[in-house]
Amino acid sequence: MEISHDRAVAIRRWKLGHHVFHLHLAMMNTHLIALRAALDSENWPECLGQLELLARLYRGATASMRYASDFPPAAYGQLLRPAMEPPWVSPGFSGKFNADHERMLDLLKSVRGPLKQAVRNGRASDDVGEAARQLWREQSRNRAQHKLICEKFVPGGKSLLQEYFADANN
Amino acid sequence: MEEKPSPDDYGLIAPISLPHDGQAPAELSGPDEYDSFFRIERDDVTGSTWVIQTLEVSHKVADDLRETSLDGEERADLLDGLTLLLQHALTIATAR
Repeated sequence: MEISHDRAVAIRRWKLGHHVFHLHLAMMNTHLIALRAALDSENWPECLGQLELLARLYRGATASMRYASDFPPAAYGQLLRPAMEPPWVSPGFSGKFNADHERMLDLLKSVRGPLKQAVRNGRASDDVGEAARQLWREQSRNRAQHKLICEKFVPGGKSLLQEYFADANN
Repeated sequence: MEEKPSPDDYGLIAPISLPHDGQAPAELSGPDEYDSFFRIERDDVTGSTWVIQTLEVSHKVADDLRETSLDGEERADLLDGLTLLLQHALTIATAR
């Protein structure tokens, strides 16, 4: 079966971009566990190194999603979004089912409180505090980029999961 | 033969079964369908498998990057991320 060049680009970037995103997430999860261990043992130089690495990985992950979405919205609307709807998949298909991303968010949440406390009470140095703030900034950038991608492909619209629950409640 | 009561609840409680993904069975998508759509296979990944796929994925993305509309900063961010992935892969490969 023949497929146009534009459609082939859309499929390749959407899925290959997600593969790169997941490789970043897996690395982030490993380093978040290492960060948690360094925090528990109050090894601040190790914390600083892990935080700086995590910020770079988060930035790379955000860029990988920008790459994944680098194709015209028409290809998303006509080709990819229908492939993520019944009968091809069950209703409510969503990025929320990205288990690696959910794990990363849980791990990130688990280090936030202890890090803030360590900086506030002076146990961790200012450079650890600044590295932690840089990591939160990367999280904000990632969320903003995600909103832009959603708006590009479904302007003002609902996700498939939101649509599913809206239909189910009517 | 009579079943022994469990030491903690004296057989007063029967077990229940729950799915691995923690979701009640329903006609609703979930993590398995997400992985399947994006061609992600969950398995015990060896170091060599990780190295090979990191190289392959990085190669494909780097080859395509010039054709994208990503600006200079976005390309630098993506390449920096790929560098970290490749450094990690090289560390695994040289330790073998």
